[in-house]
Amino acid sequence: MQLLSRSLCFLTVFLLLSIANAWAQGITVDDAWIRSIPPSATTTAAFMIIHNTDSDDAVLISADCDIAETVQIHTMEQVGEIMKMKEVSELRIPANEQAVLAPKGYHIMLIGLVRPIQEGETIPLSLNFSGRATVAVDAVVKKWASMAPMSHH
Amino acid sequence: MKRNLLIKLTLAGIGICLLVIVGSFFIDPPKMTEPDPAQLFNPSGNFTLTGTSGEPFQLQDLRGKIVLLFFGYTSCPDACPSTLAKLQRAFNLLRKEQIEQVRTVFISVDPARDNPRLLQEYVEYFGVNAIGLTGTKADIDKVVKAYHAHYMIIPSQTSTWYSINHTTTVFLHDKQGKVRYRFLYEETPEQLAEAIKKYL
Repeated sequence: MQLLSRSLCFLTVFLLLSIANAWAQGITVDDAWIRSIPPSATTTAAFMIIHNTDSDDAVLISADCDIAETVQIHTMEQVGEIMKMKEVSELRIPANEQAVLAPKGYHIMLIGLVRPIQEGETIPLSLNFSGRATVAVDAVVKKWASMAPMSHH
Repeated sequence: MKRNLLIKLTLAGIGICLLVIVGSFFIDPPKMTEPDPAQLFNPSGNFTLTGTSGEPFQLQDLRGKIVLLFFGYTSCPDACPSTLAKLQRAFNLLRKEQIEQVRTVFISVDPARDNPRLLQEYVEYFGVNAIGLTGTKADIDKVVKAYHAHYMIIPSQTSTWYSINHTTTVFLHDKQGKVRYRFLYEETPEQLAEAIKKYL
């Protein structure tokens, strides 16, 4: 009897893990980085490329980061000579497409950092998608993107 | 015979003109945004704000230096650090004695959150000979207006934090304090370095 319940327990865990894995399938994240800021500044942004290789759309609804009091999804738009920033409630990544979170566009705002961040350090983030498992991301603190985002060349 | 030659020459002329006109569409001219003479930026060449150690600062204290001035706030997630990083790249294209003649002036449009210590640390972090300036909202607004710049506080829907939409243009002043060039957000460090060299 004990053996049976133990087997059932294992089976349940196995099944749950498989389901979680299936949910997370189709989402991969590349080039995650966080903009480095001076030690006493408390607001920064995370950038990355989120690939959705699934046949269904993926909808990013929120993100978490242990070292930030508030995490929000934002977008930027340069209108004439003014930079406008807007909080968004979700970021939809269509099936088999990718979302580029980069300077001058979408980013994940990290507000109220509870400690200073160092260039080169890795900060874990979790991305929460609607109806999918959370995706864990390691973002590296850098001064700017590897590719010059502001250069036209 | 002579007429034939004339026709040929005319056709060749038209051909060359067309080639030049069509060709000009493919050449990307460097974007030098010279201020419109009808719309002068800070014509007095001066203003008074507060420096990061609490002392009064006047723009005219920087006569003899090229001044790169822009508006921002230290919690700015993208535009301000991008601009400061771009200035840093432009500085890397200059020689040491050229850099000596340039000062960056960062005017905070967020006096409620940007205290002088934070402001100083923020501008120093990017190493572009920068001076952070603050003041009362009324004083800051006066300077914003003098440069025909704009800013607007945008409250968050989900938290007490707010962001600020603001003008991202960098105003290049010559050594006499006159605005000579407006460096737009999409322009490159190379273009800025070129403009600085022109007024050294």
